[in-house]
Amino acid sequence: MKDLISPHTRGESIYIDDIPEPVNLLHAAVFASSIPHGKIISLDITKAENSEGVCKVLTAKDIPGENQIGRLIQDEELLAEKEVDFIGQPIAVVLAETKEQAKQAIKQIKIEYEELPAVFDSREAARKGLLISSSRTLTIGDIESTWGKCATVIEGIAESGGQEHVYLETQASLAIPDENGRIIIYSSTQAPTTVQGTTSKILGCDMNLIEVDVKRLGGAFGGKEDQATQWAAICALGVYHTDRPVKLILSRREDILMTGKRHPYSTDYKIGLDEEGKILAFSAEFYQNSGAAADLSTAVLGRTLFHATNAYYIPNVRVTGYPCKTNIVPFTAFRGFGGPQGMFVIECAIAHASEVTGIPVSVLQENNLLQDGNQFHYGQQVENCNAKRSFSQVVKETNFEQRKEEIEDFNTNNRFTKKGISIMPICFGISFTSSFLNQAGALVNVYKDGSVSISTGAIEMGQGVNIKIRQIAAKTLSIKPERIRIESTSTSRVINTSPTAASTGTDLNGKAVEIACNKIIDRLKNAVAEKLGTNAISIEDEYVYQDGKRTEISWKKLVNLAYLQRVNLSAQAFYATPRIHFDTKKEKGRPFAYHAYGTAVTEVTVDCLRGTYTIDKVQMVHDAGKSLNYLVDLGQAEGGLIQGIGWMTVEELVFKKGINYTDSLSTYKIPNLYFTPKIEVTFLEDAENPEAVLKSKAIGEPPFMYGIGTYFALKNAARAFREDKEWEYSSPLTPEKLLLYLHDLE
Amino acid sequence: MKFILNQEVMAIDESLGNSTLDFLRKKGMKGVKEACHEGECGVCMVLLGTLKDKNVEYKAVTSCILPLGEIVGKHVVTIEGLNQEKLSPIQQALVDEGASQCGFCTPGFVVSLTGFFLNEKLEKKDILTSIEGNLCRCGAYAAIIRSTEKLAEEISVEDKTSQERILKLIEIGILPAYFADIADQLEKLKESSEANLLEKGNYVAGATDLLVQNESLSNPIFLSEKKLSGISLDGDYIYIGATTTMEDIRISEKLNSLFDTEQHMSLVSALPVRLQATLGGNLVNASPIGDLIIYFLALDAEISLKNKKDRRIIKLRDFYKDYKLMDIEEGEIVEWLRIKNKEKLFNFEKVARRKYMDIASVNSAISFDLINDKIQNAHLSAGGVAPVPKYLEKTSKFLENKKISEDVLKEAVKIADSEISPIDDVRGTARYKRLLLRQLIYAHFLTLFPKLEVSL
Repeated sequence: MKDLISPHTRGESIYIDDIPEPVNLLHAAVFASSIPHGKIISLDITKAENSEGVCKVLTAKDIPGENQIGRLIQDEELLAEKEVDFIGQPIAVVLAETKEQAKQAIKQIKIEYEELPAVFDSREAARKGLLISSSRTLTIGDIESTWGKCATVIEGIAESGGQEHVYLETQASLAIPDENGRIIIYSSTQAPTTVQGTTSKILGCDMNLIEVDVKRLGGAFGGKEDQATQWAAICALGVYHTDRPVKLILSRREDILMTGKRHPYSTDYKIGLDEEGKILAFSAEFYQNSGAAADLSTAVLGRTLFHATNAYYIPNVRVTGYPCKTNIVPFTAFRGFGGPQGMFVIECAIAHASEVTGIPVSVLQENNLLQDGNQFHYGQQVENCNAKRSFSQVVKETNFEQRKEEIEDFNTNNRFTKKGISIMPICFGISFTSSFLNQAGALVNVYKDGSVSISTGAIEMGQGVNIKIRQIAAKTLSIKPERIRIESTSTSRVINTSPTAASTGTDLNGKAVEIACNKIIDRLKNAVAEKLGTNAISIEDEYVYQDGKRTEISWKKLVNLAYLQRVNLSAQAFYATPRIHFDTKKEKGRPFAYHAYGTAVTEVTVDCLRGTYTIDKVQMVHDAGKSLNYLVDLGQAEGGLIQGIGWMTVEELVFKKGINYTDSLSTYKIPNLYFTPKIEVTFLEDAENPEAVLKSKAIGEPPFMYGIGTYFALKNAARAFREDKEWEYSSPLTPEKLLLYLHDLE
Repeated sequence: MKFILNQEVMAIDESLGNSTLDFLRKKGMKGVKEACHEGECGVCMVLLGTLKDKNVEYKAVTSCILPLGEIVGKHVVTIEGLNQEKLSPIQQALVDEGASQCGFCTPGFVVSLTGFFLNEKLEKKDILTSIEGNLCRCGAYAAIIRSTEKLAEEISVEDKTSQERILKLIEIGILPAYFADIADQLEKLKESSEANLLEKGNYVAGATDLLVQNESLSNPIFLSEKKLSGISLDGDYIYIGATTTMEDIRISEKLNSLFDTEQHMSLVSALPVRLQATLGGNLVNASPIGDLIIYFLALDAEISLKNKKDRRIIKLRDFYKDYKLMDIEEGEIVEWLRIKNKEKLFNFEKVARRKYMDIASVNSAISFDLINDKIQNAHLSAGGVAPVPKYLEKTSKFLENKKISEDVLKEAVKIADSEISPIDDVRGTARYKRLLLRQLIYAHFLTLFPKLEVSL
């Protein structure tokens, strides 16, 4: 992997804004709505058009095709025409010779609105019947008849906040005219095919006239799955009208104001347990703040429902989700994709139940963990379950019971400093929940000098998918990874790609690469078998072996030999995840190829005088299958955790009347170096996964949810300071919320 | 204007108030990234080398909020200027530990860590301080920490002064060879670079907030040219020049002999900004939450306001009239701040959403003497609770001559509460800020007297 990340350390890796600028480049700037909801009465762009350096001002009228960027539901315009639904909604685009001139001209655009009533709260939207699409319910067992059989039934409300992606590379696109109306787009997107499809729709042309090419992203985390599309489409629209290259790089402030974030949720939960603490029934009503348009909200909500029971077996479940339409920027995918929001709620319910029943949280958790043979509420059977294994291993490795006692002693002896500890098990389903997306293609080219070039649909955004794909290819071809180059992701080389999302990048694309490499190997073996006159051929460590003995035929010679025999050294392959299906009418099926498991123990210290805290240590035992690359997987485990902790603690979006006050990195705070706890990661041993490439397991998203443990560790520490006040299950648990819990203002 | 960019002497004709980052990117230095343009993330980190007594002193600063005027006659080093054929030990350590994921922040970390080895004032234990101003959204911090710990262990350049240090760093591959000649080159640039200072215009100190608020600065007059920096003793006072950087204040031996300044000031911003931001800038920015203002208000500081002819000395607490309104006249600049060179009981508290590198929700400082168990010469300040950085006059007066007791503290926080008028904003609700100030006042006393028996 080292040679692949060395250029990062030298600043030589190229992101969109680093591509040498083509001659004649135009810079785009976006004029956006300043009100949360209203009709556009008039839009006057004449002054802007005459502003210095301006080449063209684009509005909805300039869209030759369909003014529509909605993917799941067709409900979002590229440029607002008659009505605006949120602050930051694009209305017009200025194309100018320089960035400064474009930004200057934006200020010259005059607009008049007729303001309409706006809704910002999800429950208020639901009351008013403002839903993005109908509600959805997943159910198993018979919840109503079970409540009466429970020894304890508890109800409550849990709130979780949104989260800004803060990918360090902001949304960026560069579109360049090719010949005969064809346009090449360089986009910082996780979904090149989405960009291609939407752009062709906007321009009213065939998809084959749009090529999207992606080298790498400077971070994405879900924020460039659907939200990168519009900026690329805007650039392409500019090219369409001017026949000049167009670039658009959002400033941080524009990016925060104009693009979606993780969905905030407000949820009613109800949990019923028997006397021993077995969870018999669980119900929840999730009010998702979807924002002003669908984006990926319904799919995100689906995953919330799938993961509403986290790693627990509950025989009677009914969970309902409402995608609530509000006048805020459309919320979107973010690592975990609704899963974290679902899992937070069941953990709140269990913590709440523990307080009422007096049974420790860890006991409630352990006694209800999933095991093989259980059934999820969406119908899938639990297989190869590692919930109990990871839980008991981390309990052992951390000496959990002893640590808990030590912490209790510490808390007794310290007045204002209190420590807290928590356990967080996770279970996360791997596959796109829209089954059709679980497909991928790969193109493996072997040049006659033996060097290899691989294209897939996967996007490298820091998760190391290129590193893993190269390893898979190197292993399958039995050659050194250094011979293999992973190309940019291009819609002209690999088509109809699914977004690199849902942790599936390596599973899907890696598998397609493995199949393609095996095709090549078969052809090479045939070629050499012909020459050597035997079928007892193998290829190992860059050499051909005959009857188990190394021959003189090296990889390079082998390839050249095959070339001279006119063997096809280019292989395309396709992979579609087997066994998955889901019936959305019955809400039952087998949506996931498999599940990732693991458990983390978190320790924190709260300064109860000031309401501040330190996350001291997180130890996790994580199920990474047979890890393809230890360093990459470790980085995903540690990095995902940090983001999850951020979501639960300091990352707070402050919206008031639809205005986002946290529109910069000086107001929206992400974890920094000092915020990072000591992290110890153990990967489960002997955890080979039969369902994925080379027995590995997806790891992009699951560790994010260990961050939820931080919330409960903080709660436990705070409760050690005072217990006489009711705890409100609301995240992020900012120092403000914590202090207002710890102390009363007379 | 002339300066050296990596190996090349540059002569350019650009507005001195423009951001150095914008210039560098236009110049094709693509390893210098942009992600926030307000000094918050460190992806645009550069080294800035200044000639001092024939030696070049380097510091790592965020180029987005560095005006071009500040690089005149200096050496600007981007990641491109650090790259050699082989990876440097810093780059190698990051690679070995997998400390780079998406890669966007990585060049910034490399520059900051190079800055660490160049900075004589930082010790091994401070290696993490050198990267406290770099954000990594992929959250590779654990791996970054592992690599830096390894670096700190393996590489030792302590006890070496500037030029020796540079030669050593060249020898071990952290710096390219051309660094050896930079001092001479800067010497040659010296004369040609001191010209073109404006007579009339807008004063600029560190510009670390000015360039956040403005895309570029019009008609800047750079106070860094006016030799106003330094911390000195004179008579009964410690004088701190207006352009003394926050970092120099943080590590000042004089101040640290009296107070825990190093620890207090570590809560202020992050190293790359502290190396550039100045005391005077913080004072005249007049932010109601300005950390240094709150700090020195409680030390009963005085400031000197100077114009071409006169100088007047006023109490810092009389300087602030209303929101961003100060007792300063056209042509006047803050020359220095002074405090009594005297040990006092002193404490500084700051609570922000994120402990480090964040703007406070509320900050507060207190100083007093304890004579015969009685509070004397009390001064209490609080930020984020009023339109101005607040000197809590009534509370300070109330504390005078009191013995510390639960009743006194409870009465004091009541009085303080009556003196403030916080508002709801992005740093917190008014309710929170009231509660927080109360807690911070308690925290002052519990920090100074950990064994204090009070039930709060």
